[in-house]
This record gives sequence, C-alpha cells and structure tokens, in this order.
Amino acid sequence: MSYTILVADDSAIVRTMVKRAIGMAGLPIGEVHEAANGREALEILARTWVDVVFADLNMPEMNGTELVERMSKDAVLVSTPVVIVSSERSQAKIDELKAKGIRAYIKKPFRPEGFREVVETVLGSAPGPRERTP
Amino acid sequence: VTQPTAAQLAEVLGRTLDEAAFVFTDPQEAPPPFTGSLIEARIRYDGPATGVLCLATGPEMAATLAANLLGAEESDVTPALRRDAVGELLNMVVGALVAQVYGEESRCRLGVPQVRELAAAAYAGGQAQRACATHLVEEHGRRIDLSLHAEAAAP
Repeated sequence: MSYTILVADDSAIVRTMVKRAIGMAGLPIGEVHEAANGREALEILARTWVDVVFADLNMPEMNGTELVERMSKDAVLVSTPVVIVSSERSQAKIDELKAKGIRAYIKKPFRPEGFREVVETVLGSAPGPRERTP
Repeated sequence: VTQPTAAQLAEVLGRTLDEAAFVFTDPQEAPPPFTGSLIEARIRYDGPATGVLCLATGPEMAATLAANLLGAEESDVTPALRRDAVGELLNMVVGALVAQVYGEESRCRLGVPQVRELAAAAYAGGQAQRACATHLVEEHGRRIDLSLHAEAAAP
C-alpha cells in the first residue's frame, strides 16, 4: 500500500520541488495530486481520499489558512494531516495555524533531507492507508 | 519604522540564491547593464512597515534558476517556468527578509508574487522610484537585482 498526497501551491515549480522532496524521503508514495489554490485542493479532497496535504499559505482565490479552516470544519477532512510549506516565518502565524490543527510547518527554502523527517513524523502518526475506509 | 537596507537585501538574496538554487553571487556597485527583455517579479508586504520588493533578471539567468530549483536541464525549462522561478524566489526572499528585519515574532502579511516580462529600458525607468536596491552578479556575469519600493506598485 502507498500514501496518496495532495500538493497545493500556485507555483508549478514549488509543486515539483515538494513532490521531488517527498520522493527522496523514500516513503511509499502512490498517487500525487496537485492544486494551484485552496479551492482546487478542496475539489480534489471532495472526490479523492488523500493521506496528507502539503499546502502553501499565500495562494490566489483561496489561501492556505482558509483551506485549513475549511478542512477543520469538515467531519471527514478534519482528520487529514496538513503540512504547511511557506516562506512566511512569523511565529505568531505558525502558532495560529497549529491551533487550527496543522501537523507541521516547513519553511521555504527547504532541503529534501529536512522534508524526510517531517514526512516520516506526519505519516508515521497518521493512520496508514490500509487502516482507512475511503 | 525601519525598512530593509541595501545590505540586508544583498545578504538575504545571496543566501536564498545559494540555498535554494545553488547559484553563488557577489554584490556589485556597477553591474553589467541589462539588455533585451527581463523577467520582473513584485511582491507586497504589510507589517511593521509596508513595501514592495522587486526581483529582476534576464531570461537566461531565470532559466538557470528554474533548472536548479527543479533539478532539471535548462533545455527542459519553459518560459512559464522561468517566470515561475523568479516569482517563487522572490517569495522566499520576502519571507526571509521580513523575518530578519522585523523578527519572527512580528506579524507581516505577504502578498502573492506578480510576474511580468518587460524591456530593460522600461525596467531602468521604473527603478527611479526605488528606496534602495542591490545588484548581484554570478560567476558567468549574469545579473539579478532586488529593489525595495516604499509604495505599493504591483503591476
């Protein structure tokens, strides 16, 4: 079994960088979905089971904060781990997002090796794909 | 309220290019002139102070930056990816810069990068209104500029 990932970022380059970093973590990754903003991410989440979401904060149409808020109010999506990948470094903002339920925060620019620890921690603490019912 | 200095622009841009794109640069007082077309990204920040940061470079340098960010060959980099690379690097720069200048405890709202292509002459004209700027040059002589504009001027 493998994990299904959703990467939400308005930058195609960052989506590719995140996918590459996740791949280099050596974890069993299956499908990787991409969204250019929070609205697209919610559309994918509505029709596809996702094991973990990696999301930017500053995106057009719907930003990462609103995405996290919308997911936290959804009975199903509230349990889906969210990792924010952003250039913002405000500790107050990070604390606010953690209070809203995000599992981890990765600051850009990031190194693939730094990603591995976060991915392992988040996926390690999440129910495995075989334990879930879509 | 303190605004970033040219030295801080140079330090943060140089570090970001090194860490994210493996491009090593040095600041130059009299850099080679831009010619032809440029790719320019602008981003607004609102916090203890408000400003617009502008990152500009030539398309060849942008292709190198995109390729290095992606771990790809420059021949595989499309014009859209060149623009995306400049915008994303500016996104990284503004986050690091406001944290360095105002501290990670301060709140600063960052905008979304706006990227456009423009002629070198038009870029030079727009730079007249900048508050401060730095010009970095990499080993092949290619230039990348970071400037601060005190007023919002997103294209």
